[in-house]
Formats: sequence, structure tokens, C-alpha cells
Amino acid sequence: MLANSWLVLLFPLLGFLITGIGYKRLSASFCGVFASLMVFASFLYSLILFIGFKNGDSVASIVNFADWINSEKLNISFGFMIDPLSLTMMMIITGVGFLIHVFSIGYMHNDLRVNTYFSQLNLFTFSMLLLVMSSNYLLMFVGWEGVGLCSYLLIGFWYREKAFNNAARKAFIINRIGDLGFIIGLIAMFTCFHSLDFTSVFTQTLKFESGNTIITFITLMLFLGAIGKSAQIPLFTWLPDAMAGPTPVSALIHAATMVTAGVYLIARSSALFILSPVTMNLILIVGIATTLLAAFIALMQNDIKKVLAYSTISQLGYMFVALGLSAFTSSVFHLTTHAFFKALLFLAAGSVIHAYKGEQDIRKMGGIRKTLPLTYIVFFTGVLAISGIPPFSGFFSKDEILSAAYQSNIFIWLLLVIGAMLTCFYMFRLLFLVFHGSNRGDTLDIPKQKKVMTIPLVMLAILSFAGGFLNIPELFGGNFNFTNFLKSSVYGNFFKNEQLHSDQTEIILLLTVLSLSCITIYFAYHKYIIKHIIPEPDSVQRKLIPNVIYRKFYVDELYYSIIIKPYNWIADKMLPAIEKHFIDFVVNSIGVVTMAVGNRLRLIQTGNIGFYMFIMVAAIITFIAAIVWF
Amino acid sequence: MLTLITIAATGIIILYTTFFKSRKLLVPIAITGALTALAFNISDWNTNQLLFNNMMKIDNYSVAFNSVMILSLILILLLSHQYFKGVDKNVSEIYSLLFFSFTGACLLTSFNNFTMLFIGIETMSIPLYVLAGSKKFSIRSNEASFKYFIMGSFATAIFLLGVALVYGVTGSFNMSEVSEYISATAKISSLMKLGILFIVISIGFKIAAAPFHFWAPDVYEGSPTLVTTYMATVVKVAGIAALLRLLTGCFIGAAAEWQHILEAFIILSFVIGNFGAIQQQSVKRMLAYSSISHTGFMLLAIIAINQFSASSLLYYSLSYSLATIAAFAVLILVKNYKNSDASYESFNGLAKHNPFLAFVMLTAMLSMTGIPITAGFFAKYYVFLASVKSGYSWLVICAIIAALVGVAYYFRIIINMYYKESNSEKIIKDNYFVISLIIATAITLAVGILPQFIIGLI
Amino acid sequence: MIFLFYLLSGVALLSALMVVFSRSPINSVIHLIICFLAIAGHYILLNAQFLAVVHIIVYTGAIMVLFLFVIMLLNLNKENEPHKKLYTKLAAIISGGMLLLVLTGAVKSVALIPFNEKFDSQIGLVGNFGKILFNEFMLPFEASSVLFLSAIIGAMILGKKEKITNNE
Repeated sequence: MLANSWLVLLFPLLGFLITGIGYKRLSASFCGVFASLMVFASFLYSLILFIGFKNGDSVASIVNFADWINSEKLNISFGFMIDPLSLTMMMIITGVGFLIHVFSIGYMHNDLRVNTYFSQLNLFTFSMLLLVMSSNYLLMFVGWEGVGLCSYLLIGFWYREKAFNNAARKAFIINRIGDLGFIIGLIAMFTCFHSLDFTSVFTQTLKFESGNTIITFITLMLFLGAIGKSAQIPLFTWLPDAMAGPTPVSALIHAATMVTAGVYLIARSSALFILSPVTMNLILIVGIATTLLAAFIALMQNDIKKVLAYSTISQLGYMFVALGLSAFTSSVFHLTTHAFFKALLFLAAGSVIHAYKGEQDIRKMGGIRKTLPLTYIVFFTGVLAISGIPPFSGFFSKDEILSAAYQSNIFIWLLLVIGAMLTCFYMFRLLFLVFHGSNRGDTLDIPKQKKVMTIPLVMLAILSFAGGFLNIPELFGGNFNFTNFLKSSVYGNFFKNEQLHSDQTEIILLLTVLSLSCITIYFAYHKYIIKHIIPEPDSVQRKLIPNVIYRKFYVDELYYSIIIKPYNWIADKMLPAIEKHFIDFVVNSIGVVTMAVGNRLRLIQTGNIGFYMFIMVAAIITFIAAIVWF
Repeated sequence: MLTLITIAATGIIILYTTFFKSRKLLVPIAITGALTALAFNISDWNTNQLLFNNMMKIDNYSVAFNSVMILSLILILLLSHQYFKGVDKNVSEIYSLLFFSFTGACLLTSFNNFTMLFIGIETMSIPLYVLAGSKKFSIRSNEASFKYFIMGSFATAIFLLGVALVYGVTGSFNMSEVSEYISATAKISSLMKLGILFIVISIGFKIAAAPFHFWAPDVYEGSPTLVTTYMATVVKVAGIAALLRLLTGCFIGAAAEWQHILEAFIILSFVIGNFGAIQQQSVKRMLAYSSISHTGFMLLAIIAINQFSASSLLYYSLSYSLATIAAFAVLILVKNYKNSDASYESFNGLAKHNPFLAFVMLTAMLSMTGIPITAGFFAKYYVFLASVKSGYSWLVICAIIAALVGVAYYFRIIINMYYKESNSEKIIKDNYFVISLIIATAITLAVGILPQFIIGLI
Repeated sequence: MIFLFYLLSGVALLSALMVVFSRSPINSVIHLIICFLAIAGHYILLNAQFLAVVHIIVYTGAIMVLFLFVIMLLNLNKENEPHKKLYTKLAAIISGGMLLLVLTGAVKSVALIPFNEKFDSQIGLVGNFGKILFNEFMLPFEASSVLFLSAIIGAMILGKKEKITNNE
């Protein structure tokens, strides 16, 4: 069974190849169904692997299929690591991925390039699975770049729109910075450990002291990679722009799976990261800063998808905080629940956008709960889950991170609670503005909700509601099933509260957070339901602080003026000085010399047999002379 | 042995199809024959056998190289259906000559005796002289045939002289006996050195290694393109496989002697192949010169003469054959369509209306240059690795420079295909052709991603 | 015996020189025939009768007749051979001279090969030769049939008269 784990990868690849090659001949409906079935088959096999794992000896296993690169020192095998962490990720990717594929059948059915869309979506699933299943860093990097490519393709899916293309390019280029870090990290790792295999590297880490400089460097570089992929400060600006892609893409790639690759990378490399306190602290700081910054920006956004995008960044910040606190399992748990509820929120938002014929501005929406009652319910579920209201899934995962923070430092806890309150506020603001009040939209028609779109929503809603029960803390009579399951995959200390603080503290903390959340929700209710406040149009002059928030803290503008402008300036100055007089000259000279030599050499090919024979004889004689006399 | 018999028998069966005048059957029969031969060939895997009084030795080395060559043959046969569409004379004879020539090529990978080597070379070459001139009314084809014949006979004479000298010294044609003799004698006599030199030179002629390459550009250009494809792939692979077999199996004790010869071959092949190719206006001629440069790369694997030689050479042969076949196939189509002399300009704007052909050509060119994820990258990498192991770093540096120069002429086609405009239309191609192109491109990419499948074989 | 050897060698060398020096191609061919016959005589001296006969039949008979045909058909029997350029002549002299020099050097430096004890003086007789050919060298013998078959087919393709069609 394990030996056939490549089947998980095969199905999406097959889907990609068939829909990709036959995109002109196959009918759109076939492609959609076929692509979804392939992902479903992959999900089923992941499930079989999971059950086999649970019933078997539950030991991580490496399945090597073939040697991939085998040279002197660099030995890379084409192998997979089947362990709790990768199994969890596989099930999220294929499970949520399947639901989103199904949703896409309904969502994209009017599009002309729907076959291309599905082939790219399948390719993404394949790459993402490769990323999480590989048993070494290089193969993981292949998947890492694969998802980057698919992300680029799908963000720019409607490529006729120039702005969308620019968004795709922005995502790709910013990710390159992170990828560069990843590559440097890999090279450093190889120099240090002479291997890129997970098992080999992790076993060797035992020999290193905590705080080792090389390990710190490696982890910093890997973290840079994670920052790029998971949209953390300072490389987060691409994610809001990435919302240019079709909404299911945002749900799958830019919320549930690809952006969590960074979290996966760090959790997978936990053995390395726990050896470097510097990096861990940096992760913590970056995580907190991202959480708060993104949450603040989300408060003032008026585009339904942008709000969700910033909320994704903010939630990813939470995951990084957990990583920084070396609560790796909590981080992965939050990743899981987040995949459920954020995919749900995006798909529901997609339904709303669908109903508004593509309108995304929440100021032009409102009161749609009457026309889309089901969407309203599922969206509400998602909002409750992300806000951490018990017993929805977000509550459990966020609570774990909060208590881990509390043990480490009350200040961190406080900052995270502020983040949680902000989350409550902007999510309920979104809910109220879109679904309650009066309808401000112009072109609302009443679409009949298709089954293919509603069923995935309901499934995800159930998961968002119940996902938290995977890991019920002892406080509520649970026994941390999920944490215990994942434990063997990650190194370092786990969820610590069992020893450190008592149930009473725990309950007090919970109640504090809950009451603060409820107050925030009421505040939002008061503002948007009772007082019917609608966000102001863009043209209105704002006060200083709201304006700064509304303008997203001017991060894009900042990057423009401190990076792009100087870069352009340098490029302008360099062009004549170095490019023309030095590089061009050297390059051209090489070309001229080569051509000249070629011209001379060409002349010996005269076409005359006699001449050829003469040269050959001359060559033979030279050889004989050389052999005999030397 | 069954491989050989199947190939020769297929050639004879094809001759009989002339009576039935059924052109449609030709390609299927030929491919069935080739596939049967491939099956027999693979069934010989891991059966080391010495046949007919040690005349032939079938081992994994010969099976692997035979498989690469049969694959090339099949791909070429798939191309041939469309290629010979307008021709109505002598087609079945051409096919059977192709198979007879291939019989010789198979002998070259599995010989264990100088007589077999000689017969292999001749059986491979003589049908080729005819095939080169099979376009009877084209003066260039006639010229190519004649030149190839004259110079090939010259090489044969040199070869026989070399064999005679070796026989004179050792008193045996058998490879292992000669090898024992060499290892038993402390000082290699001058006559032996001369013998080795002559044999190496004549095989160098067959694989178009400079300075014995002079026939190649003219013959490659003048011959019918399909025959050129065959010459550039199967003939070259057979020759180079024979050379490695000869040098490891027979003359390994005298490595110091022939390594200097090969050094000269390699450097001259790089210089002449690359600088020649860069100047050409005709793509066909450019490919001819580039094949000389590829000979240089393949000789790098041989000069290393260590445990990596055979596997890296096999990998290089495979990647080179596939890329060459794909490139020539696209060239055939473009040339026929434009009815031109296959200049670079005829590739202008190919990507716009024939994206598939452009992609095939792109992969082939990238593979020849050695850009990763195509097979060409690892091909060059393993060859370099092998020769660095044996202390030929300076040759590898030259090889890297040569590979860089290669970018200039390979990328020129890519630029013309993708960045130049022209008002070309969709080129018609039959199914056989498309299958051949798909197989070639798919394997190029597949072994480029998973080189271990090939490199681990022998 | 020794006398015969020197006689035949002298005839062979002399006629070989005459091949090169005689003006008329026909004369050259005739001298070549004499040269071949002298070499065949050498074979007989070495007790290699089969080789001697084959040599006469193939070289003196078939190939030389072919040469004569070609010369007659192309009407080359004019004494004005095409004028070679000076540098070609020079190059030919230099390369020929160097070949001589190098080969002499090579042969001089060679130690005499020890006489092979196993040598069977009867090996060149037709019967023994046939036995070896059909036992030890069976495969090369059979394989050369492919070679000849392809040569026949090649001759047929190239030699067959065809109406010029628009193949090109």
C-alpha cells in the first residue's frame, strides 16, 4: 500500500495531462468532472494511506521509488515521506481541493477556457502534493516552484486584463525573493550536512548545539522562503493582488493550501529550527507583526476578496506565531481548521460575487441573505469559526495558540488577543455589510443556486464547524487526538499547557478572550446594523490614521520609493556607463572574434575530395609522427 | 543473436513487398520488425553470452546500445511514411537497405573479433553509400554518395592496415587474446601503436571526429534528410559504441597511446564543429557541424575510460539521438513546406501557427545545448563527471566553453521560431510523424527529469 | 626459392613503379596486372594457394577488367593528364615523403617479432582454409552475405535506368 503511494500523485498528474493535452477537443463538462474525479481518487488513496497508517504501526516511513540524481556527492532519491504531517497535508489538499474543484464546475461553467483552468488546477494539486510528500528538500523545492508557477498561471487566468497580469507577475516576482532564500538555504544545508534528505539531515542535527551559526543561517534562509510563500511581512503585498484570479483559485491556492507551504516547511524542518533561538524569535516577531498589520488593514478594505485576503495573511501570522513558540502541532492544527473555514469563506464570497455578476465592492452589496439563504448560513459558520466562537473549529485552534503564547509571555498573548478582536470586527463587518441591511447593488439577478456549488459549501461548513473536534483539549474532556497524532512528525516541545498552567487560568483566559470578542461583535453590530453605516467612497477625505490604514499603511508605495525607484535610478545610470561601454563591448567582441574564426575555418571545407584526402593524410602522418617519436 | 536475424530478415521481407506494390504495408512491416528485434534484444538482458567461437559477445552493454539504436530506427521509420510520400521508385529497396545497414550497426555493438568489427563497419557503410545517393536526380545527392564512398573506402583501407598490423604483432583477431597480449608485454611495440592508431582513426572517420570529419558536412547536406538523420544518429552511436567496446575490451592496456589521439580528436571536434556551425546559413549544415561537436562530447566519455564511461556514453547517445531525430524531423517538414534550402529564415514565426512543431524543436535545441529538464543537461553533466574523474579537467573546461558557443547557433533557431514574424501557415503532418515527434520529445523530457533510469542501467 | 622470391619482388616493385610513371592509363593498368601476378606468385611461395588463386581471379581478372572498361568508356586514353597545381604536387611529395620517413622509423624501431611456433604451414591450402572458414569464421562469413546482398541492391538502385520524374 505504501509502496503505491505514488498513486496519490499520479491521479492529478493524469488529470493535468489529459485535460491539458485535449483542451481543444474535450468538452468543458467532461474536463470539470474528470479533473474533480482525479482529485477525489487521490483523496481516497490518501485516506487509505491514513487508515493504513493508523491501523499499522504508525511509524513514519520513507518510500523510495528511484534514484533521481545520483552523482558523486549529491544523491537525491525520488521518494516520499509518509508520516502524520504529510498525511494531514495530503488530506487537506486533496479533500478541500476536491470540494473546490467541484465548486469550480459550477463557478467557471461560462468561461471559455474552462478546460485550461481545470488542467492548471490539477497541475497545482499535483505540485502541492509533491511539495508535502517528498522525502527530501530538493524534490520539495520542485513542488514549491510548481505551485508558484500554477499560482502565477491562475492569478493571471483572465490574462486579457492588464491589471490581472501585473498581479500575477507581482506574485511571481515577490515569490522569487523567497525562493532565492530557499535555494541558498538548501545549498548551505547541503554544505553542512552533505545531504538533503529529511531523515539524514534531522538525524545529523543531534550533533549540533543550539544556536549554531550555520544552522541559524540555514533556518533564516528557509524562513525567508517561507515568508515569500506564506505572505508575511515584508513580502506580503502580493497576496491581496493575487485575488485577481478566479475565486475558487483564491480559495484553494491563496487561502487553503499554497500559502501554508511556508508553515509546512518550518514544521517539517522543526528539528533545525529549534536549534536556532534567533530564528525562532524572528519568526515570532514577524508573525505577530503580520497578524496585527494585516488585521488593521482588513478593517478598512471594501473589496470582499481583499478583506478575506488580508484576513488570510493575518491568520497565517497566527500560524507563524505558533511556530515561533515552537508549538508546531498547534500551528498545523490552525492550518487545518483555517483551510476549512477560509476555503468556505472564499467559496461563499464567490457565490455572492457570482450573484452580483462580478461585483466585489461591499459598498454595492447588502441584504443578500434573503436571496442566498444557504450562502448566508455557511458564510456565517465561517465567520463564527474564524472569530473563534465555541464550538466552531477556529476556537480550538486559536485557543491553543493563545495559551501557548500566554505561557511564553503575557505581552505576546495580549497582542494576539488584540488581533483576535480585530478579526472578529472585520469579519462581522463583512458579514453585516454583505448580507444584512438593504440592497445597494445595481444588477442583482436571482440565480438558481446549482447543486455543484452548494454541496461543497455545505461540506466545508460542516468541516468548519466540526474541524475543531479533532483536537479537543483536556479541559473539555478531550485528549488532544490531533496533537498526539502529529507529535511523531515534529521535533521540540509540544503543546505545553498540560504542565505549566492550571485549568483555572485556562478558563479565565478563555472567558476573557470570549467576552472581548463578543464586545467587538456587538460593536460591529451596533455600527453596521443599528446605525447602518456604509463605508465612505474612495474620494472622501479621511483623517490621518484611518487614511493610513485605508491606504494599507502605504506599504506598496513604500516599496516603490525605497526599492523600485532607486533600482530604476541605478539602472538608468548604469546603462551607458557599464552596459554599453563595458559589457556590450566585451560580449560583442567575443561574438566578432568567434565569427571571424568561423569564417576562416569555413574555408577549409572546400568541397574538393582531393583536398580533403590531403588533409586527412596529413593528419594521419602527424599522428604517426607524434606516436612514434614521442 | 535473434535481434540480428530479425533485423536482417525484416530487410529481406521488405524486399518482397515490391511484388505486391502495397506501399501502405511498408512502414507497419518495418516497425513490426524493429519492435520484434527490440523485444528479442531486451530478452537478452543479463544473459552474457559468447557466440560462434567468441565472434560475438552479447552483454548488457550491447543490449543497451542496441536498444537506443532500435529506438532511433523506429522513430526514423515513423518519419519515413510522410517523407517518401511523393516518391514512387525504389522505396522498398531503400527500406531494406536501411535494415541491412542496421544489421551492421548491431554487429558493431556486440563484436568480439576484429573480423566482426570489420564486417560490421562495412555492412553498415555500404548500404549507406547507396542511401546517400538514393535521390537519383539530385546532383547534390549524387555528389554526397560519391564523396562518402571514396572517403569511406579510404577509411576502410586504413582500418584494414591497422588490423593487419595488430594481427601481425599478436597473431590473433580475438579481442580478449589481443588484450591479454597487450597486458602481458611490458613495452608496446611501435607496430602495435601504429595499428591502434589506424583503427582508432578509421572509426573516428565513421563517427565524424575532426580532423576526419570532412565528409560529414557535405554528405549530411547532400543526402536525403531522412538518411542524414539515420547517419547522424544510428551510425554515429554504433561507431562510438564500437570504439568504446574496442578500447575497453581490447586496447585498455595501451590507454596512454590512444588517449593522446582522442585528446586531439576532442579539441579539434570542438573547434571545427562549433566554429563551423556558427557560420552556417543552412540549418541542415549547422546540424551537421553540431554533430561533429557532439562527437567531441561523446569522446570525452571514452577518453575517461572508467566505470562511468559506458553509462554516461549511453545516456549521451540516447539524448543526442532523440534531439537529433526531433530536430531533423521538424527540419524535414519546414523544408518541404517552404520548398527551401532550410535556412534559418524558414523557421521564422513557426511558433505562431505550428506551436507543436516549435515546441518539439525547442526541446530538441535545448537538449542539444544542455539546458536542464531536457536530457541534454544530464548527458553533458555525466560525461563531464566521467572525464573529471580521470583527471581530464582541462578538457572539461574546453567542453564547457564549446557548450557555451553552442548556445549561439541553437538559440538562433529558437529566436527565429518564437520572436520573428512571418506569414507561414499550418504544416500538414501525418499521424506517424506526430507519434514519432511525441515519443522523441517525451523521452527527452522524461529522462531529463529522471536520469537515473538510464544512468543506472550499465 | 630465394631466387624466386627476389625475382618476384623485383618484378612487383618494377611494375608498381611503372604504374605510376607510365603516361598512358592503359599501360598503367597492364603494369598493375603484372604487379598483381607477381604478388600472387609470392602467395604461392608462402604455400597459400587459395589466396593466390583468389587474388588472380578477383584482382587481376575482375577488378582490372573493370578498370579497363572504365578507361575505355570514359575515353581517358589521352596522354594529356590534367595539369595539377604546384602546391598539390608539393603537398603530395611532402606527405608521401613523410609517410615513408615515419614508416621507416617505425619499422626500424620494432624488435623482430618472434616466429610463431604454432604456425601451420598447411594453413593456406584450400581444404584447411575451408575448414577454418566454415568453423571458426562461420559468423563473419554468413554476415558478409548481408553485405553482398545490400551491395547488389545498391547497384540495382543506382544502375537502373529510370525516366526522369519530378522527385525533387
